[in-house]
Amino acid sequence: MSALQNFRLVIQTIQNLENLRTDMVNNANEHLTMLANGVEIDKIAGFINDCATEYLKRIQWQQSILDTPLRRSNLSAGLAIIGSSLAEVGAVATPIRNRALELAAAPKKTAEDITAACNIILTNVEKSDSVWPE
Amino acid sequence: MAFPQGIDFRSTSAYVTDPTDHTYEISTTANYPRTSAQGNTVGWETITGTLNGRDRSTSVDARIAGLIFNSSTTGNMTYRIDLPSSGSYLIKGAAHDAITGVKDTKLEVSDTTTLLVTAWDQASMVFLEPVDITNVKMAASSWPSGQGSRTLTWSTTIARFKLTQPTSGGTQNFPFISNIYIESAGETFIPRVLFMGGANT
Repeated sequence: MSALQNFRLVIQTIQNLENLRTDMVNNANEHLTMLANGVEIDKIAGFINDCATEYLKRIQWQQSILDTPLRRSNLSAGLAIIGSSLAEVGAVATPIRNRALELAAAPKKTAEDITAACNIILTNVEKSDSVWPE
Repeated sequence: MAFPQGIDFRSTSAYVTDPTDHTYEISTTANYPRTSAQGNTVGWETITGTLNGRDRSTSVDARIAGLIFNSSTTGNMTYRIDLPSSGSYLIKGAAHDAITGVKDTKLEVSDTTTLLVTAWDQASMVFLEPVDITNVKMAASSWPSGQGSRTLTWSTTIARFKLTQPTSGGTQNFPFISNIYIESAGETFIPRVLFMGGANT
């Protein structure tokens, strides 16, 4: 693939992983707001579980690239353009994946459980800086 | 993924409170993939032109309180919602601008790249009252329960909602949208037989 095609993989990787961090924090806050507004625990628990599944799906998109030698090589070449590496992507993706797994496994039967589950994200995932409000 | 999923387009997230099954969309830049609070992957996928959000009225239903429009008269934008599976889905929506009513917009709903249906394809349409997905204009107070729907079948898991210029052109060519809603239409009811042959086991 051309350098431009490889770089597209980089742009999408950044968009996927950095947006994911933002989504995880925003959604945790949203779920706490739902709790404060009296939305049923079961409904919030369902939303959190569905979010965790989607977070892991997005992480898996990245893993699929790493598992395919040609795509892995192309992403690596694209990352080299900006002086980054697969290791740096992994350093971002792995903690996010671990938090998503913890979120999926966390109990969600009570209001305290929901708060604790949201705090897994809020205390461990840092929302990336943004030029514009999000 | 948890459907239904509603998307309420506006400028400020806290301007109104969305129903539980809805989330706001305030981004004016491409933001797909975004995981909504309901656990669905959504977002602006492609944008040609410049998007702007507006908060219009807290006196109407929260779902149609605002809008996002494209300030380029040759612009268009596509919102993507990933579906849990192929199949039939019921969609609703609204184009509504409570302050500046006259606009030109057209909605194209696609199954990945296959066009399924269009709506709002009319030049210089007045949107001071919301227009639903079936092109029926109604009072804002009637829209929540009175809006129509369309049931469409997707063979893929990518639902695209493209806002673009109306076919016949117009004078205010700023494609815009206020609300999208989608839910599964494929559920079947299976009655349970509790007693058979007189034996209650």
